[in-house]
This record gives sequence, C-alpha cells and structure tokens, in this order.
Amino acid sequence: MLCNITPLRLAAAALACLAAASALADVLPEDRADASWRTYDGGGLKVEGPAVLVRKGFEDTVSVSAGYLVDRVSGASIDMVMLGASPLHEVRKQKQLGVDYLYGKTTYSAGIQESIENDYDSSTLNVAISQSMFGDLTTVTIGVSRGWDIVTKVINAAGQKDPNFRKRADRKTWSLGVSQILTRNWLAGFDYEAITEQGYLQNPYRAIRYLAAPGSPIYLTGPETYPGTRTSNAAAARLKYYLPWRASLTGRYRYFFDTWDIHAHTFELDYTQPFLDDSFIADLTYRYYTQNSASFYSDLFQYANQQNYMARDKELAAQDNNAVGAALSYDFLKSKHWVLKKASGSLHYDYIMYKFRDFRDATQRQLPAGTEPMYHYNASVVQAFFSIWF
Amino acid sequence: MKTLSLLVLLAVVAMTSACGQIQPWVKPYERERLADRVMAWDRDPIATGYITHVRENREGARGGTGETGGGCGCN
Repeated sequence: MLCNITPLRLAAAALACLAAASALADVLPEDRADASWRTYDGGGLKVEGPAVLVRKGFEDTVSVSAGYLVDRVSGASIDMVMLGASPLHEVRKQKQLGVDYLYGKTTYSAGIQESIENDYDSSTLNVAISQSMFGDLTTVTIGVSRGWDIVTKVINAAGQKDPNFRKRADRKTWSLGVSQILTRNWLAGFDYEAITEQGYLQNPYRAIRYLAAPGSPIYLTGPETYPGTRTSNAAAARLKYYLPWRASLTGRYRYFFDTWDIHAHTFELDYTQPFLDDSFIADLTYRYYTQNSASFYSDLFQYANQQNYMARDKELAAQDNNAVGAALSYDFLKSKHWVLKKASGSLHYDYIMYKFRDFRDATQRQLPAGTEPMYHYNASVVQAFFSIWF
Repeated sequence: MKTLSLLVLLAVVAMTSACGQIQPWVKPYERERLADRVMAWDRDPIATGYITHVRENREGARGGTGETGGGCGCN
C-alpha cells in the first residue's frame, strides 16, 4: 500500500539502487573562481555588495567549493514608510562550503551555508546524491536539506535589539531532479521540491491595517499573526533546444502551491547566442510570474481581530511580475596561459516590474482607506563578475 | 506527503529500470551539440544564485530551482 510507504523508506530504497548502479566514470564541475559585484535597486530599497565563489577539484574524484558574499541593505520599503520607520542600514553576510565526491557514476554532495544579519541568522545543511544512468542519458538527483533560523528584532536606529524577542524557525526540504537527453538537439529536466517550515515564519517589522471604525476613511495598524507551519510544493519542467545556427532556446515552467493557499505559475524563456568567433556569448531572458494571495492575507481588515491569522505582507498578496534580462560575457583568455585555462568578464542586467492586484499604496493617507491605487514598483538587478578557470 | 511518496516511488521505479536493458538512443559520439556551452543549464552559478535569492524574497513561491539556504537582506 502506497500510503504505508514513508518517503524516507522510499528514499532509502532509491539510494540503495543508485549505489548498486555505479559502474562507469562521470565528471565533476570544472575548477573555477568567480568574483562579482551585485546591486539591487527597487521598491525604496538598495542592496549592494561583493560575492566570491571558488571551486577546486582533487584527483578527479573530489571537488570542493567555497563562497562568501556581503549584502549592504539601505533605504525604506513601502511597509516601513507606512509605519513611519527609520530608513534601514544593515549588512547580511553569507558563507557557504560544499563538497562533491564522485564514485563511478554517482556523485555524493554535501554543503553548509550560514547567513548572518543583525536581526536574522540562518544556517542550512544539505546533502544530495546524483546518479547518471541509461548510458548517461539520464541524471537523477535526490536531495535533503535542513535549515535553522533565529529571528530577532531591532528596536531603534542605534541597532539595539528587543531583549525579549528571539524566535526560531526550522525548515526541511526534499528535492528530486531529473535531467534527460532527449535527442541530439534536445535536453529536458524536471525538478520537484517540498519544503516544510515550522516556527516564527513572519517578518516582525510588518503590520496589518484595519478600519478605525466601520465605514471610516481612516485606518489603524496592528500586529500580524501567521500560522506556525507551512508546507510548500514546487514542480518545474524545463526544455532546451540547440538551434541550427549554434544558439540555444530554453523554456521553463514552474507550478507552486502551499498550505497557505498560494498558487503560483512561473514561465521563462531564455535565448543564448555566441558571436564574434565565440569570444562573446549573449543571453536574453523573459520571465513572467503570477500568484494569488494567501488565505489569511488582506490589504485592509474590517476590524482589529477579524480572524485568527492576519497578514498584510505584499509577498503574500496577489501579484504579477514581468522581468526582462540581458547578459553578455567576453572570453579574454581562451587558451591555456600559465595556470589559467580560460578567463572571462560578464555583465548581467535584469529589470523586474512588480504589479500587485490586492496590495494598495497605503502611504497615500490623503485618500480614504481602501481606495488608494494598487501598489507597483520596478527593480533593477545588476551583476558584474570576473571568472577564471584553472 | 502523498505527492512526495508518489514521486519518490516513480524515482525508485526509474532507477530500478536502470539495472535493465535500456540502450542509450543518443550515442556518446552524437552528443557534440549537447556538450556545447550554449546548452549548459547553469553557465554562471554565482549569477543564478543571486537572482534566485532576489526573486524568492519578493514572491510567495520558492523552490524547484536547485538553490538552497535562507536569509533575507530585506525588510
């Protein structure tokens, strides 16, 4: 009976079969180092900072990767403006370490990641096993990760924290990925991911708003109350086609649903074209995303304790966003020189247009509550990076 | 959980079949185009990781992208 078979037992059976199937050699990712500078500018917030990622292999069987990044966040989002909060100045630092071990056709991977902010710490541990099969036409990857978050609250511009506010959130993720060669020109992929979260899942700085009195044009604000658990499911499919003039076209679709009644669809189309004797490679991307609102979300509640769970996070509101992106990479070293095999410089630019369907611009207090225009904003994401292969 | 059980079961069936007689219908010498860098699923992991982080912190959906980890850097 399927209902009596736990995912854990099935995963164990899958791992046993994968281990038994090991036979021929596969390959690990290339030795590579990337150094980048990224900026995000949109919705009143600016985030910028450097990131480095290095990967080095040993004896063709082990590959180790390490990464470090810093995000400097400044500005004030619409939520902070509505509540009259001071503009934000904070720093997020993230460290990550990963190792891949190749045995026959099986790759065993493990990684740890730690993200630290002045009011939010997050640690994640992940393990995965990847197996090539059917003459390397198919690669199956199964992964599990566990995350532990600590949420605190800054109460003044000096960065002082509320000594009585310290919450936890735990996260578990299970993932299954399949990458498939279909023909000489077609690749396909499928990814499924389930995430369960438990604990304090809300943002301590956000607030709901409700009418001061029935029919009143004025609103008041109050604390949000989120459920203590959330289970999410994401299933994604992708296809990539090699075009006759040496270029590629990629299509992706993802369907997402969770126990908060959010359903989301994501469509993406990418075009990749090398040119000028393969020295340059350009990417053009279009992405469309749409979601409905969470079951306990409302832009404007009728009174303070209208329901058990109440939220006004715009991330839980009904929204659509369209994004266009362009990337250009230039290989300025294409043959081996000293210890370097290759070097390139890249510039990525993404422009995202967020449009909300039930989140109003509550900063326009001259208008009666509930009649303000729907909020929308645009964001620019720029990434410049330098990569070497060695 | 039922969905997860079904998917893992499908994976087990697929993997068990790997021990069978299926022959590759695209031979290794026919994979030149697939090995071209224009066919890489993720040519720049550092860039993909960042744009995924940006999206997941501003949308209700997450997952299905192969990226892991928490932290926000937003308010």
